[in-house]
Amino acid sequence: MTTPPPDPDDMLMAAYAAGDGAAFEQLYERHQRALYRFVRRVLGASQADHADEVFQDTWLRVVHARARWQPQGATFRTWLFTLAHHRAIDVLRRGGREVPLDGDEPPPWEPAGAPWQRWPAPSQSLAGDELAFWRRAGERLLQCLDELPVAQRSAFLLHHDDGLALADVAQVLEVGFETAKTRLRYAMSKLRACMGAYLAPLCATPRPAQAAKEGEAPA
Amino acid sequence: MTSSDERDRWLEQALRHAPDADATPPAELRAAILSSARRRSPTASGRAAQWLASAFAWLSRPPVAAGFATLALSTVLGALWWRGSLDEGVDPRVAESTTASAPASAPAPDPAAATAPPQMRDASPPAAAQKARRALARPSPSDTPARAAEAERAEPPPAAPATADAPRSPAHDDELRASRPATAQALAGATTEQRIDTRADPVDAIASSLALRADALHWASGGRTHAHAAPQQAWFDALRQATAGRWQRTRTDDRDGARVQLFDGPRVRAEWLVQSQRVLWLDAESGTWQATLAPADAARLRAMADAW
Repeated sequence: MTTPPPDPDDMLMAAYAAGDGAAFEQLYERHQRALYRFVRRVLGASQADHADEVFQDTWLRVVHARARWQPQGATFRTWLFTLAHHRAIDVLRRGGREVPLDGDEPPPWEPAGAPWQRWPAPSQSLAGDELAFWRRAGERLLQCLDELPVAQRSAFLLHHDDGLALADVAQVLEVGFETAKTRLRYAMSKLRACMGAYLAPLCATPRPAQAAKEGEAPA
Repeated sequence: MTSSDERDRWLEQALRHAPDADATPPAELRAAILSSARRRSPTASGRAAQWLASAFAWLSRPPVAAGFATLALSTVLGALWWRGSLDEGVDPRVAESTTASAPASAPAPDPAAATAPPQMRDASPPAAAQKARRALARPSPSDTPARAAEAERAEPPPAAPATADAPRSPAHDDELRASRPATAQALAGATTEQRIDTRADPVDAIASSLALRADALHWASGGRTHAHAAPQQAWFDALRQATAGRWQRTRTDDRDGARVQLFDGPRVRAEWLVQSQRVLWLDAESGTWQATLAPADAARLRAMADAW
């Protein structure tokens, strides 16, 4: 049985706890963009002014906790996002935003058929009209995210934007796996509805080149 | 669960093209965070520098400095004794007086300070030193007991061996200033009488702190605080010059005068009261000290502090 290689973040954090200031800089560089984006998006447009404050507090908590931190239970990245999520929730509550826990929502609306059949297929290389379309889609998505409850928004961002596995999402949100999965499902359903309603008129008919790809793309 | 069924490539694509997708924290935020991290995690060289600074600060404390001075003097005297450079007929009372502990009534900050040699009040100037040497070499039954008694009355200084408490002439003080090198240099150098006579000025410890850690120190005078800068250094230099070789312990409760304080962080490192003809130094560890001042010097010190 081979032991898994140590996580680079864990090694850097251990080095920082031992007094290596450069290790912290590497940690910061590895995660700063994703964390900053996560903080801004969780806070939403109404609390965007607090993004810098939450971001800084999160890193300072890392600094203060360096001696106590142990690489067990969660990866550094999961722990980092947990700290940021806690801090963002504090700010949202302070700002008067309601931060409900799981409520009794009705089952999410599920669009019939493939919801994106009129959209261009996702691709790594975009140009021209497609690029302009996805930029508009991005703008709209941020507005749709703002309309989600914070718990669902966080679940979606952690999973889709930051790439955390559902188990890690559950850990960050401090809920059970199934609860995290439910939140994510609600979030995606609402976002699809919000996005589809806005973007559908932009692509009234599927493009021939995309129609061939649609069979490959996941629904 | 791999959660692949929970991912949506369209939504991910839209996220990647959102206007804030390339947002990065401001440069000043980055600098502040990294600066905080570095401050709380000093590098090896930083730790060494901190250790050195704290060691210097510890060494510059009056009781510690007094302890080292005692040790150095004892070593010198012991070496001289060993070489037989001193006559064998030394009056034991005199010898005793040079190694006696500080009087029990004197507040002794720590054991090192408590074992500091008492000061020979006439031993500062060369003439007095020669007299002391004669006393050591040719003990006089009538003279030596009195000298020993005087030595017993003398009290130890806050820093290294202190100055005599007998009034001295200005010429006497000038001689002392001219002949007083830095403490270590004095202890390492020269003749027996110089070793006996040379004594570190109590404010030397403050001077060391100012030289090493000026950034961490600040001043207070007239209800205002000031970072250590040229005017404060000038005031301290003037104080040092005006009081050189004059510090002696006092029990006065007089607290009048222009108050000047030196802070090390929140702690009062030193506090002086400049009066019309003397300056008092209130030392938290070793008590109250005073140095006589020429009225002109006192006025100048007060004016300099008022001008901050």
